[in-house]
Amino acid sequence: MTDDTKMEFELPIPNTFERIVKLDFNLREIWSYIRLTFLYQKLLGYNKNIRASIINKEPKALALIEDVERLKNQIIDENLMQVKAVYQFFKCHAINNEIFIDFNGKEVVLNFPRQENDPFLCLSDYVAKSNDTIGFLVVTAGHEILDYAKKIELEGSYKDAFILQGLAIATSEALAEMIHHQMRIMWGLEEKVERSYDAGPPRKYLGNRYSFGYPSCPNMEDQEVIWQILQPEEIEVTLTESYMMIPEASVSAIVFHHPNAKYFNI
Amino acid sequence: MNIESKLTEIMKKRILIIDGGMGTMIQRYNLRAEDFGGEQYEGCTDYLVETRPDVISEIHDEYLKVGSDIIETNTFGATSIVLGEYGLSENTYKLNLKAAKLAKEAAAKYENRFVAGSMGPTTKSIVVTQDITFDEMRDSYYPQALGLLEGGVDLFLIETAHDTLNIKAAYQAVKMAEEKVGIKVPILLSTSIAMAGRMLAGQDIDAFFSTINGLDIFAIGMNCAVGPKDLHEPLNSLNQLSEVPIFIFPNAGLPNDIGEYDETPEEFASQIGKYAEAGLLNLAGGCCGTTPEHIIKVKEAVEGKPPRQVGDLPKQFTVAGVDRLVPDDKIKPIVVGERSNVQGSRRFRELIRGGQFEEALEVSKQQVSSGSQILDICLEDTEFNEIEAINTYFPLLSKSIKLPLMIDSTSPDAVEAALKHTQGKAIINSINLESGFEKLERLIGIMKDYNAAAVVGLIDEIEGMALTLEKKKEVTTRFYDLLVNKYGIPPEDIIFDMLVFTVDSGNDEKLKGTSRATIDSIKWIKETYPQVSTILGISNVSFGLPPAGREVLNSVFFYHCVQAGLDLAIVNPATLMRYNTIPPEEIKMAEEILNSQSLEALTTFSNHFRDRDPSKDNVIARANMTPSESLESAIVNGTKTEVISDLDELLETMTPLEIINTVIMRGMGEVGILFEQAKMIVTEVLQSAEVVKLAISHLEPLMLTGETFTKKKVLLATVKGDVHDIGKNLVRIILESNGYAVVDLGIRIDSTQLIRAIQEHKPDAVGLSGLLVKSSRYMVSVAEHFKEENIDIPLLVGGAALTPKFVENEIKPAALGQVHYARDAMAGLSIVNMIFEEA
Repeated sequence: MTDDTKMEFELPIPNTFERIVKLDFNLREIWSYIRLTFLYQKLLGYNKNIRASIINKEPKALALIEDVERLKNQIIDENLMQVKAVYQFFKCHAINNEIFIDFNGKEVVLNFPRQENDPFLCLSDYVAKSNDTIGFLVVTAGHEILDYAKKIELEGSYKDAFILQGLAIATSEALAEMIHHQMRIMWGLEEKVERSYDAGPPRKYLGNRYSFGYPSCPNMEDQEVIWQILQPEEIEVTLTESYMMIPEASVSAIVFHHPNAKYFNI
Repeated sequence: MNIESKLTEIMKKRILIIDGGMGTMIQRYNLRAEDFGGEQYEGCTDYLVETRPDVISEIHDEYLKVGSDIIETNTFGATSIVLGEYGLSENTYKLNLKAAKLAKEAAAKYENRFVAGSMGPTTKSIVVTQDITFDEMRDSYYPQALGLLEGGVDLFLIETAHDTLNIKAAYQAVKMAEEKVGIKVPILLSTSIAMAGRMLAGQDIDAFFSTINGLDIFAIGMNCAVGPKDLHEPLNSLNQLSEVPIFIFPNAGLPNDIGEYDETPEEFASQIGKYAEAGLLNLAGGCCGTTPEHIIKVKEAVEGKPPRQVGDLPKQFTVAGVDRLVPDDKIKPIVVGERSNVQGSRRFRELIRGGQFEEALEVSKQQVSSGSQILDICLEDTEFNEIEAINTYFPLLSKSIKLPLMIDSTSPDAVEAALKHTQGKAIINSINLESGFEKLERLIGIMKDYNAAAVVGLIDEIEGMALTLEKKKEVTTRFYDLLVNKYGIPPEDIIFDMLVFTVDSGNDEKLKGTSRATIDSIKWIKETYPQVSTILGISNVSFGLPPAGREVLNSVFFYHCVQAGLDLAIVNPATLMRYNTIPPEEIKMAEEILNSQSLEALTTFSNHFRDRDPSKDNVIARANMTPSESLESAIVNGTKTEVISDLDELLETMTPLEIINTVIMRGMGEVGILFEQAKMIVTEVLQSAEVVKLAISHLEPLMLTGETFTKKKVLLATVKGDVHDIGKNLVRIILESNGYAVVDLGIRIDSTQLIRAIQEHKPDAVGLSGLLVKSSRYMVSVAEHFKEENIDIPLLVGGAALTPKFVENEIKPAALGQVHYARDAMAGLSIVNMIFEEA
């Protein structure tokens, strides 16, 4: 264990260990967690820095934003997006590279790879040897919006279809961000404060969340564990043979509270 | 001796010195709120003439002491608009009067010093922010001009102008004040050219000069915005253009990080000295950041250097929008776009009648893109109020059309309303004597107030339109004499409309020979009055003839008019056939009509073209036509409104397949290039694809059975395990709108499914997509499986986790056929194009 991962703080305890399924959301609140660069530059292919372009009032950027806002309104007016989330805290402890999760009295194990060079990090380092807790979440923007996008694409509305697909992906990411925020509040890591809708996602917080398939936890097979303990089938998110989620606009994550948790490559 | 002659006399001998910055000097006093008369006025430097006249007098004195010939009143912001921000608009006249008197008192202590009434740009802009009307702007300047004049200023300095329309308003306010007081003083106009060489409202020095040149101006120059070095280019241009004295009084360099100007008096003066050395200056001084120390140095630097001398410059027709337009002998004539005309274009009329101004603007924009150099705008209609339409449409035009405008109306009120929205130098279309002298004189007054050129129709109060060569000569001579000698209009601002009548004159003997008379009159007028210009509405000549023949006759008539010296043509450039593509026998037939207008020639011509099947016309000539260009630009711009009507016009001469293979593919080709150059973004490309889809869905039902427009077939799939299909969908749309048939197998497709689909659909290429590292690996297995099955069709691979290296090292060695890495959808398209071009 490196200095970074020592447990020199009081372990937080979540205010509930119940499994929470949430189907009723205010979409504008979710969208306030969207990162603009992710939506406009990565998903929608805008070819310059979107923030600078907004400041410079670049017509292309403004036209694109207008399209996005129009479609957001349409999503709300016509109820086109059925977002859903399931999340839960579990008691757990870590030994070496493994995290042992207490799932209804039986132990479920997640094994993570460790870096082969200094600082030899492994995700299990972010969990204490005893009496710790960990969170899991699965969220989705639902298949309805993607089906709708497909439909209008066939009718020839290519641009709107493309933007709606991008918005669906961005919404699932934003929802993950929002649920993660909620979970930090439940852990007592943050006070609940009123956020304005144009605030953008919180930038600094305690802990971190990781999705399987990314560098710190590359094993997609471990998605099975999440499906075992969270049962995201209830919110209509299923896994393919290579453990990817359907619908596409879904996010699964494992949530740590450790203040030094960061992203690293194996 | 009046001021003007006195100044002229001195300026023959030396360069006159204007003072330096006022604000910069005021800052040295570290004034507090009470100096401004209380907190509510703090920062209102124009109010200091009331509250701290001693400060202002002292600054004037300092500048006089160092040898400024001209000092400026402390009235830069003393218009009712700016003073209104401090609740002082009622004091406008009084403050200006006071400021003028203070400066005059200071100057009176010396001999031959002059006071310039400073009139700044205000905080609003008619063109840029459109937050004020022309009339409001003029009325805000008026009490300022009146106060300054009655306070005794020797000249006016309308300065730091960033919007030429604001200047025209200020100029008119000065003229009104002069009329009221009964005194006339010289006016100096000074524009503010920013680093990019343009004013805030867009004009460069050439366009600015052309716009104000006809006004009654004593001297023209530039101030503020930049330092002396940055004015090199614009000063040289101004030197070549201006017959009146020119000047600069720039800033002490560009502002530094904390907004201060730090060019030293030496640096500042040395550059001005260089300009003086080159003979470019009649007056010089300083603006922001300059002080009496700078002015001393400027005086030393220009000492003994001769002032700029100007002889007579050649006069020529000039108009301006954001840029200046002058005739170019190589590309004669100047093309005037005719379609933004409610009387000439049904579509434009319907849009304006329906209040769809934004859509109407598209029509005007299209005229620009199809090569017009001036836009004729006519909003005169029986169904709506012309002036209201002007007040809505012209502000839109001024935002998006950079060309000079031709204001087409018979109502002087409407013409003036339009000019109040027009930044540049416009053309009034038209003035004549049909309704007598009163209206003529009103329009001439407007020409002068706004410095507009005018089309003069050969129509008089006695015989109406001039039909014969003799009558045309007579009316031209009379009008020229009236306008130039009686009313003082410069000949280069006169454009004679020699009038065009249809050759199909039927039994009307009076109309026989009119087309020949028109051509001959142009030749005559260019010899007799070389300074005036000529204009014709070309297409009138073929009115009533069969459509296929009209273009030929228009083109031949146009050719002869240009040969005769025609300067401007109201024409749709895209519908003119190229003269050299017309068969010689058809040229001969057209010339026969133009020369004789005989019934026989007309009958031969009409029969020839009536019998012609329009669809057999030369495809290339047809492709030059408007609907094709219009469709192409609709694809590039992603606008759907005109697509169907363009297609319907195109279908008269082209098969659906020809339209797709030429016009539509060219449009998408252009889109591809623009995307490559990062001039279009993905969503814009998709919008273009939508236009193509709309066009093709309109054309498809019209195609013959068995006819197909698809080039090649491409199979697409997101590979096994992967659900990401946005990228793949993009590829499909792009390929489809470029004429490929696409079979999209969807997501999570394994190699067995792929092979089955290949056997069924027999594609020419396969595209694989996948977001994950795992998907990239799976592509290797697909390639291997294809090899086992002996499938060698080209493979395109793309996806976030793929790298060119991985494709090179892993997928290529596994495959039997070609493998190409497609970075994005457009790259995919060019690869597919390349593969099949080679094949």
